[in-house]
Amino acid sequence: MSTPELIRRLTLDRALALRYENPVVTKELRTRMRGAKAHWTMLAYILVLGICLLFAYDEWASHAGTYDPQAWLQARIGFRLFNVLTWAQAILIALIAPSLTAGMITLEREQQTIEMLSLTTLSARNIIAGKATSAMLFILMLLASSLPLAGICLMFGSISPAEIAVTYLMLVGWSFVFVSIGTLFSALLKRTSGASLAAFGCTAMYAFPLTSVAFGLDYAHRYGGLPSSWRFVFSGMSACTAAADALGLAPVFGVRLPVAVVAIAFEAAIGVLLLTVAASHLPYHRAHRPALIRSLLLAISLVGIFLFLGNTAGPASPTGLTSGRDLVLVTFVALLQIVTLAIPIFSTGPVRKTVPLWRDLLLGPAYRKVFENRPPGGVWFLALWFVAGCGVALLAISMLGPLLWGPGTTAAAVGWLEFIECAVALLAAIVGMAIVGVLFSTLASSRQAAAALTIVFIVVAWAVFPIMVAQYTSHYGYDWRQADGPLWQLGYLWPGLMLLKVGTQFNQGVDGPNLWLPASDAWIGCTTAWLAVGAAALYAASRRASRPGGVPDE
Amino acid sequence: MNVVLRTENLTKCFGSLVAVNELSFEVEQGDIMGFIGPNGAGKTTTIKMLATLLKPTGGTAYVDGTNVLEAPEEVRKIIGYMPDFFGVYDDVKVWEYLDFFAAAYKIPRQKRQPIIDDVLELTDLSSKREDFVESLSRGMKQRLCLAKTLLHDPKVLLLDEPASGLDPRARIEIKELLKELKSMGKTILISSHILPELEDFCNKVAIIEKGELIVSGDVSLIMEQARGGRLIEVSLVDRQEEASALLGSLPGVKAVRPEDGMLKVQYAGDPDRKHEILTALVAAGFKVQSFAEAELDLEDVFMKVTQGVVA
Repeated sequence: MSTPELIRRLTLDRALALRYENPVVTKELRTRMRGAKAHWTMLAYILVLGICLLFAYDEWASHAGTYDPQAWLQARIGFRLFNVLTWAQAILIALIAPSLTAGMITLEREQQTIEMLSLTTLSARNIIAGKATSAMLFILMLLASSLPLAGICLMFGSISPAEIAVTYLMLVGWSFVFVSIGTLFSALLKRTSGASLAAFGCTAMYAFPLTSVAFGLDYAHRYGGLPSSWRFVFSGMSACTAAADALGLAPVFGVRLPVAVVAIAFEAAIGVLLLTVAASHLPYHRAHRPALIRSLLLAISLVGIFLFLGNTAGPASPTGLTSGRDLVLVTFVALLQIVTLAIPIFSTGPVRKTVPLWRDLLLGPAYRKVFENRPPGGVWFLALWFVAGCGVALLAISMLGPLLWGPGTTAAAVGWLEFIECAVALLAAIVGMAIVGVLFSTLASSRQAAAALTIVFIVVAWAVFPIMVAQYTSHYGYDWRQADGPLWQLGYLWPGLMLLKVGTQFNQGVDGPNLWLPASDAWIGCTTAWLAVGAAALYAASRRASRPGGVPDE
Repeated sequence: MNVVLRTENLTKCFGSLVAVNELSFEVEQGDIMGFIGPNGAGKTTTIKMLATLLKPTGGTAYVDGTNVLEAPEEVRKIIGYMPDFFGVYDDVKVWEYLDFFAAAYKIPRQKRQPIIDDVLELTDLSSKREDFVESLSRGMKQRLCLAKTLLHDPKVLLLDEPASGLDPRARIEIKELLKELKSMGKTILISSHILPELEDFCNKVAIIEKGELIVSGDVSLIMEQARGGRLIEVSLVDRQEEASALLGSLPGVKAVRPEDGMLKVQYAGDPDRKHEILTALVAAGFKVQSFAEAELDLEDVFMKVTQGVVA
């Protein structure tokens, strides 16, 4: 083979990637772009955007009382219009992406084509990637069709081509998350109607909080005196304010990170995570990738906590989060929220019938169990998640110490021993709750039922003690902090006790009821109580698992 | 002959319902096995387990020596499965539909066009190439589905009620097509609850009832067994009762019963000495109008072997 031929083979074909072909993409695009439907969608999309821009311009001009081009630069009209364009596109995409994708797998089920599709040599990954790619390509086409409108904004000045380019990239990242959400629910649920509902609900749950935070911060930057030197590291994850955040830099541990890069990296990771889950739930395929899914979940949440602490508690942060105790409290609250929400998902499922349950949970290499898609493995994973989260927080806080309080003062400011004591107690609580989840998996006849029971148990564990306090205070008119007696020792099963300990030092009888152990040993009571719950649940679950019943395999 | 399909105590339960119970049978290369049973007997469940779409509760199955439980991906490459109910994609032309599946079976782009032409020709759909799939008639869709099933040249075809819901003409067309496939040397497992559909071209048959295999094997052997010998029909001008008594006393005759104005003689003796019955009748002066061995069809066999199970 001659050299030029070799070069041509190696570069041109590869570079053009024309050899890559996913039949699902080809088929989806063929049907989506056939006829006039797609073109009408595109026309409507551009019309809506154009009308938004027209109204925005007219609104400004009538307020300013002038259509004079000289006033454009002064009023940053180019930026304002592009901001409106971005908001409109972000909202439209959040509406279009779930409706494009929610039916992708459910329709295959409903039209009875999924069996024949599954029997081909296409892997679950091929199918999911093909479906998501075709939806992304359609959205990219819509975004591309709006470029001339962005060009008009550019001509008004006060916005740079770089800002426009980065904003578009952020919109792509934003769309990827919604395409993944829609595809995930399409694979998880049986009916298109249910999948659409879930996809729109989840999209709203993702978009609303992010957007309201990003919008509030954007507003505070512009009118509220929030220093532009400080930016929220995740504000780029809402594409609504992308125009304002495109070139923004967020200080994290004193280093300035581009908000857009953080956002796109997180969106890519979240999208890949959701699509991997979707692929592992595709019917008729064996594509369970628990190791990949759990690694991605760990990476996203841990890097998120790390960046969050470095950003909101770092120097020049406007949040005022500067005391060591506050940092530990924030860490625990964040970690507990994430891990507790995950308990019903990871601790439930079909348990192995071939080995005794306690053996499955306790014996054998832990590193392998962590990534095993069974309830005992889930317990280990939840424990690892919490421990790794504490480790990351420890790292973040010790990196923040010198910046906040000066070198060598971190230990005094934080109180490491107490941090570790409380972490041990909370770990015991998480493991205890997770083993209760395993117990429910051996009792309930479906995974949903097991998860629902676990949720109820977790809610009860968090709520019983506060309800007792409220009851005591309102009925007897006593100060609940004076309460003592055996029943009140239930407080050791209340995970909030440890948060109270971190937040207030928890003086016995002052910040809480009279527990049997002195406040400094409360963590021992909490740990013991939850280990006892865990052991009892494990005993019951092991006995129950040896009999038929429980969550069935697949 | 090597065994291409083998099930070993294949069992499937849905909750407390046992849909398929310890089914064991074998199909050899080049066999056309008719899989017969009434609706709800477990035919579709069995075929879906062979096609790796359902996981057996117990037992296992091998397709060309590959375990369906251990390597479903490998099994999927060598089988062509046609479900009893299936849908087609909207807004897709016939050739695009086939092109999609050909690509999904990783057939290289250059080879796809000739293969599509071949299967379209085989299924007599060449003229419909540019038509939209949803505009085809039910029979054509069925043939298109069969065409799709043949794209990757599967060794084994699993056809679940391929002719159900078709008009007589379409039914005959599918039948012709299956004969063509038989001549191509494919191993075929074909299920049906309509027996005349199968009897022309099946050389093996498996009868299933309430999830249990009642009988399986060569069609001719099963027929032989089922009839418990031969059935001879004798028609006389008169004196039926007397003839009946005479016939009952002849060696090899197991039973005689009058039916439709004829005498049906169950004969288990030497087939080469059948003529002795006729000789005896004529010698006794009976006026014999006709004397013939009755043909049994699959339907009779089915009714016979499922007696008592269905009732």
